[in-house]
Formats: sequence, structure tokens, C-alpha cells
Amino acid sequence: MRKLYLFSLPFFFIILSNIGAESIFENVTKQIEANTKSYVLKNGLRLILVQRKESPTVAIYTKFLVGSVDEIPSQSGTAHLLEHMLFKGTPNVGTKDYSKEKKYQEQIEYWGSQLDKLRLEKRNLESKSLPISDTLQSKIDTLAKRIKILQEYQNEFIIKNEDSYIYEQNGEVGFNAYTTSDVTNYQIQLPSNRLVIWAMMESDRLKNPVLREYYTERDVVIEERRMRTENSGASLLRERFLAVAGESHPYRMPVIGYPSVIPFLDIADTKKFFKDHYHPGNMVITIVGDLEFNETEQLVREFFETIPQGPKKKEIKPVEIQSKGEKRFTVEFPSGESMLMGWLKPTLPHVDNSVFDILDGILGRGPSSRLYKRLVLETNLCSAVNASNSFPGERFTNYFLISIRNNKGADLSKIESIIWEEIEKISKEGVPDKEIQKVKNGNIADFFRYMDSNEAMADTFGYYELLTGDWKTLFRVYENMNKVSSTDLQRVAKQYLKRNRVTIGTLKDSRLNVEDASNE
Amino acid sequence: MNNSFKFQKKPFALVLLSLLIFLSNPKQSKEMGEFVKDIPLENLEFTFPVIEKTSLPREGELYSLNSNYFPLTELEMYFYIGEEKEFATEVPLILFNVWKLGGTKDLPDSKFLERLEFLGASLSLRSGYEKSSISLSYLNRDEKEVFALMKEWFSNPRITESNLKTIKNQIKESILRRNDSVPGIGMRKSKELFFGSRMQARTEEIASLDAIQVSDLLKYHKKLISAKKVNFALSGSGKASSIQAFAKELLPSNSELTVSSSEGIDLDSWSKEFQSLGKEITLIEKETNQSMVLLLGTMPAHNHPDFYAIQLLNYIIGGGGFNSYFMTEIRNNRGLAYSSSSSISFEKEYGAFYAYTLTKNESVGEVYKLMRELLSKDTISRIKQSELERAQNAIINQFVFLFQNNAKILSNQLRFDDHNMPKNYLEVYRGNISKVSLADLQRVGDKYFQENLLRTIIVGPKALMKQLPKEKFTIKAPEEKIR
Repeated sequence: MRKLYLFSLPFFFIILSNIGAESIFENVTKQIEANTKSYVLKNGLRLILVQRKESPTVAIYTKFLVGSVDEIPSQSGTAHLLEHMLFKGTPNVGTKDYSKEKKYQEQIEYWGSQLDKLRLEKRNLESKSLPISDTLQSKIDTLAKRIKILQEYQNEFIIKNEDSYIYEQNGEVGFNAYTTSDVTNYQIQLPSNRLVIWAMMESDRLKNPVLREYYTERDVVIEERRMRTENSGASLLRERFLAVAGESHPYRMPVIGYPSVIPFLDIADTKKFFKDHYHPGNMVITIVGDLEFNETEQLVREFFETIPQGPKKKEIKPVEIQSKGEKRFTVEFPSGESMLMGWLKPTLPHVDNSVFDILDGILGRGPSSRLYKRLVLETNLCSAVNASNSFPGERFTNYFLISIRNNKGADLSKIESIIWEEIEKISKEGVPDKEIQKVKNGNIADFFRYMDSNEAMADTFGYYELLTGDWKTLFRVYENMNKVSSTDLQRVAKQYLKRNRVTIGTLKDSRLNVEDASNE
Repeated sequence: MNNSFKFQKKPFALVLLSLLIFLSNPKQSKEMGEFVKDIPLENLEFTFPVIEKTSLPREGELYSLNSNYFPLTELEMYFYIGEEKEFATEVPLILFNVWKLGGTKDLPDSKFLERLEFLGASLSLRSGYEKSSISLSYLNRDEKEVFALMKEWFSNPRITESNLKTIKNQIKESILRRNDSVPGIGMRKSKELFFGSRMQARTEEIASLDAIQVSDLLKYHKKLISAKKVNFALSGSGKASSIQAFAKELLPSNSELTVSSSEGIDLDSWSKEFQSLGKEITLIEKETNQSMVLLLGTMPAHNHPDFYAIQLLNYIIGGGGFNSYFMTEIRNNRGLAYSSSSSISFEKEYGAFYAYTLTKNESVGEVYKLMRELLSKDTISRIKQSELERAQNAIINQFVFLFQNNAKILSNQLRFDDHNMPKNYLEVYRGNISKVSLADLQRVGDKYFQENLLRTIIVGPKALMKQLPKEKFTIKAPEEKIR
């Protein structure tokens, strides 16, 4: 009897668990919706409040619909530099007396711009191997000195990092910001009795930022580019992928900016960029944590509703023409090797986007995914495999990406042919329901895990509100994902993941070239 | 641009500017933080969360804190087995991967993980110096099946040759790639400089990897599951009673229990050993356009009375984010780095201080000198009472964030207990921070932060030695031992 029990136990549970996690998901989303309220202020600013009283703290995420996709090549990196610059204060914060400091700020802005023009002139001459006149060099030196002196004068008035100081004294955690291709986000967590401090500080920042220390911060960004991109083969590969795959696509602009442009980004252009993009109609504030709805709504209205509604701009973006024919490129860098394969595809809320949300799990998420089994476990050709949907953003058509880390000496053509085999298998045979259900269940459980923090909720709800106009789209995405069938997967694999639509990038270890040459 | 600035192009512009500065003395102007100074704030209502502790089989305890927000159970299982010197360094890491990959008799190899994934469950394993941990997360509704799977997987591991080969390949590849990242090299070499041949510094090596057999893994597995002390931490919405029952089945009585065998570190002799290392800079040669400068020093253990003063001093110098001396001087004033900070890892028997900056090769010399200056006796002696109060306020007001997340609260509490911190450590924490005086800062500054007590590692190209002509260097390749 006992043996029979042991035998039948797993069977019983397998049947039970084949029921999807959708019903649990529905219950949880109902609970979240019951604790969430959203508002639109008179000036168009959207506000989402989520009550979650697990600790006496709040997470506040303020998002703007602006990222590198909103730049032109000669301003590449502006959205990101502006994100840095907005921490530099206002006439009220970051200065001992702005009425007296202002003239130095204006002088630095003016002369800084003049100096950049001269430095650009010098760079152009150098690139053509033409001589640099003594006059030009002397003008550059004089201006550089002048700016340095002006900066010293201005420094007498500047209170460095005063916003950080104020927040720190009020117990902040995670006061920071990030820029992506699509959005710029400012985040902070505070004890819940300090919301009023945040409201004062952030409304002031939006109303009148002062871009102090612009030229020093531009140098900081150059260091950031070195750290994040230039010293990482994988980052260089991704940057190059977007440039090759998208010939006219807005996503081809690197978020951090081109190294040839960042040192010359103009402060007047940066200020204009702020005016064009940082306005209530283009922003969402999400506050999650220990809050009272009415009180918090009133507070946000009091401080933010007076910010004037900004310009509604006509958004013309080039649409990538899907040319037929594969694209290949190689990046040489002294690091371990890897490969990317990507295909252009629609973004949310397109129904096919949800199919890709399942396809990435089937192909390359987790150790039981098809490509992991083939490339890592069975053939030992790779040490890591990943498939991801919606690279690098979701405002425009984006890429379905498969990335692998090949083991040293592994045959890349063999790896590629296995990837094609697996894709074509799906387009021919579809995917068993149980395998699809595995991915759906995993996605829902991962959703619960990820959402179990004020920060993640604030970040995600604000993101969906900003991109789609309704934060609850997040739930629709999961609902759509749960409807995906084997036929959908077959259709999408056939339609998009074609050999003549692919871009393949390879990161090649440049040290191996040296070794090869020395062996010859 | 506004025409009114054109007069500045004339040569007397700077004279005029000087006059303007003179007339607009900033010293009489507003103070830092004045913008929000008089904002009335409500009191923050806060009570310490009560962690429920119940006993587990052997010498373990279950720490639990519930939250019903999501239908998920999060369970951390900590196995205290210590150093286990008889095994090669790579054994724990290999075992954890091979074990997970092997599955069970009924669900061999990827079928096991497939089933867990089907249930939306996740399983991860980490090996540590004092304790190793298994993390399990699952949907509450699947608890019975997850427990059944775990019990079988835990006590009857499938450790196979083919999975061992796969994992060895993966680890080999990660060894080959570990010198790709400058910060990665910097942190690995820092541990080597701190700990020499001790377990804390040991990393995986290709040579010893090849020698590891299935039998080594089985032997280590037996030691692990027979740990005398196993603590569980339960958060999410799982029930403590069912976890206790699960623990009883998972950890049956055993006559051959593994007692933690850590040799430990004697703070005094370890510190002396570190001080006896030469003062020359260790340059880890790496072709890159951005180098890393690291200053390292020994600190006392977590439960040492100097802990609070050290925390505050570190906060002021490099640990306090944008307001620290490092960020203000190196990033903000000079634009020399994106990232520059310091941190202290406080452990049961010792503490280790790390200060680092990533900067372009051309500015390594300047950054090195600046970092030393910011850590000098002279700088520390000039810290003002207002700066100390500022750091105290910040740390005290951030205190509430220690209790934001149940999993974090539990892992912190386990760590405090492991470090033999006083029972009321958290209750008195803020009071102890407020008690620190300027004299305490100077004292710990003299005792632990003096320049001659710190050692330097730079990761970057050889050419940057020219920037520091007065310094002596020892040059090493990333894979060469530095101690």
C-alpha cells in the first residue's frame, strides 16, 4: 500500500500542477488593483499611488518619456548627460546665493560653448593632418584658463550635492536615476513621513534646474562610457549590433552617447532638450508604500500641478525598412568570445509581442530551455545561453535576441546551425502544451518574486503607464502571454525568425589574433 | 547667447569678475539644506518586526517573518560546515552545479529542473566560507510536490560523470574570462592581498579542476547534508509549521554530523601579517583605457566597540555616496571618475576596508595621490563636528530601511547572530551611532586609516608607473599570485 502511495503521489501532483498559475495571478492582480489609484493632474501629469504598508517607507519613481531615441546623432548622449545634470540643483538648492552666482553660471555657459567650437575646429584640422595655428591654440588655452577661473569664482557659491545632502539627512536610500533608449527615470526611497521633502525638492528641480558644473560632469560621463562600454566586449557588441541591425532605427543611438560627440555636447542644446521633453504631459510619478491616498494626492497636486503643460511635439521617427538579406559583423576585443543573433519584431501591445514573451522562455531562459540543453548540456559548445524579447526597448519595433557565450575553441558555425535547427523545429512542429505551460507558470512566479518590493512596483507600473497610457497594461501583457498557443509560436517563428532577416554579431578575442600571428 | 555678455570678451573681464566676487561675499548667504529646513514632519511610527524563532533538528533554528502579499514561499537553508580543507577549492562550486543538474532518480537530469520550472519554483545554491546555502522559492499551492522533490533530490543526489564534465567546462570558461573585467581583477586580487593562502582568498584554478572526481563530490555532499548546524530563514507567505515538518524529514538524526571546521582568523596576527607586506604598489598588468586604484586596510571584527566610529568615518570619507569626500573631490570637483567609494566588510573575526576608484589611465597618478590624501591623518583631523552630525543623522534616518523586506531582515539577523552581536544590537544601534564623538573619529582614524597601514593595488597598463615616479612597484600578471 505504501509503495502504491509513493508511486501515485507524483502522478497526482503532476495533474494538479498542470493547471496553470493564471488563476492565482488573477487573484493577486485584483488585490494590487484594489490598493492602487491613478490620477491625471490638470497639466497632464499622471500619478499612480500604491498602498503597501509593509514598512513605514515609500519608493518614488518619476519617469519621463525621453531617452536616446529622442536624440539626433550630433546630440548623442544628451538625454543621459541631462539626467546627470539634473542633480546639480536649482536657484534654491545647490547655491549659497543664486542671484550672485548666476552671472558666473551664464559666463561659463557662454565661454564653454565658445571653447567647444574652437576645440572642434582643432579636432577637424587634426583629423585632416592639417597644422594647428598658434592663434587657434592660444585662443583655446586662453578660454580654458578663463573658464577655470570662472569656475573657481562660481565654486565660492556652489553648495556641492546639496540635493543629496538634503535627502541623506532625511534618510534616503537609492537616490539615483537611469536613462534607457526609451525613458529617463529618477528614483528615491524615503521614510514615509518625508514625502513632503521629496515633493518640494522635485517640483523645484523640474521648474528651474540650473546646469551647474556642466563641463566637469561631461568628463564624468566620458569616464562612465569607458567603464560601461569601452572596457566591455559584450557592451561593445550590443552597441554595434544596434548600429548594424537598425540602419535608420531610433534604437541605433547608444544611450551613453558616441565617444566623438560626448566631449562636445552643448549646454544650450541640453537646456533645450530639457524644455522639449521634461514637462507634465511627458511624465509619470509612481509612489508605492506606506501612504494615504487623499493626503498624497493633495501633496502632489500642491507641488506639481502648477508646472506648465509642455509642448505636444509631432513625433516623426524613421521606421526601419526590413531589407532582405542577413547582416553579419565582428567586434574584436581582448575578452572572452560571444555571439548575438537578432531579428526585428513588433513591440507591445502587438499580439505577436506576447508570443515572443513565451518563445524566449522556450528557447533560452533557464537550464531546461531548448538551446541551453543543446548548446550547454549536450554539446558543451557554450557556457551560457540567453533569449530575450524586446531588446533594447519597447517604444518602437525592437529585437528578439539570442545571445551565447561560446567556450574557447568552440565552432561558431556549429552553434549557429543548432540555433537555426531549434528555431526551424518550432516553426515546423510547434511546441508541446506542457512546455508552453512551463514557461507561462515560470513567468507568473517570476512576476510575484520581482514585484515583492516597493521599488520594483513603482518602476514597473510607472513604465507601463508612460509607454502605453495605462499601468494595468502590465497585467494585460501577462493575460495575452497566457493565451499563446503552439500555433502562435509556429507562426511567429516562421514569420520573423528567418535566415534572410537576421543580424549576427560576433565578439572575437583579439588576443587570439596575436597568438595566431606569433605562431605563424 | 545674450548680447550682454559680450563685454566679457575684453581683457579687463577678469578684473571685473574679481570685483564682483569681492562685492558678493557668499559667506553671509544661505546654509546647506535651508530650502527644506523648516518643513514640519510627522513622527514616523515604527516598531521592530518580531522574528519568530523555533528550533529545528540537530542544532538549527528556523527564523520566520510572514507576509501575505504574494502566494509565494521563500526559504533559505544555511549549512554551517566551514572550511573543509580536505577538499579542493572547486569542490563546493562543482558539487552545487552538478547536484542541481543531476536531478533525482524519477526525474533525472534536466527533467528535475524542468519540473521545478513547470511549478514556477526556483532553486539556487551558493557556497560560502563559513556556511553554504540553498535557496528555494515556490508557489504555496505546490508546497507538497516541491517538498517531495526536494527530499528526494537532497538525500539521493545524482552526481554523474557527464554532468561533472559539463560543469568543469563551464567553470573553466569562467576562469578564462575572469580577467576580462578590470573591477573583477581588482576585487579578486584584493582578497589575495588580504588573505594570502587562506580559504577566503582561494579561487578556482584550471589545474585542480581537472583532478576532481565524482567521489569527491559525493563525499562533500555527505558532509554538507550532515551539517550539525542548519538554520532556515522563512519569508513570504509560507507557514512555519510546515517548514518545521519539512526540516525534520530533510535533516534526520545522524550519528556522523559535520561540525563546522573553520580555522578562523586571529585578528591581531592577521593584521600584523598584512602590515608586514611591503608598501610598494602591486600593479596588476592589464591593457585597458580605464584603470582601477584600490587602497586596502584591515579593520576589527563586527562586534568590536570601534565598529560605530569606523562606520561613521567610512561614511564621511568614501561610503556616504555623493556626499562622501571621495565622490565630492574625485568625481564632482575634478571629473576624474564615474565611480569612487569605500566600503568595509565586517565579519565575525575581522573587517576589511576597500577604497577604490576607476579612472582613465592618464589620471591614475592624480587619483592615487588624492585617495591617499583623503584618507590621511591630516584630512581626518580636520573633520568638523557638523560633518559628524550629518553622517550620524543620515545613518540614523536610513535605519528604517533595514526593515523594508522580510527576506533581508532575516538574512541580516542570521548574520548578526553568526557574528555574535549583542541580542539588542539593533535596538541600541542608533543610540550607539549618536554616541560617537569627534575624538572617537580621530582615534579610529589613527588606529585603522593611517596611510602607512594601507596597501595599494592598481589594475592597469604598465605605462602608468611613470605617473608615480617616487613609488615602488611590483608587477604581476592577473593570474600570478601576489601573496
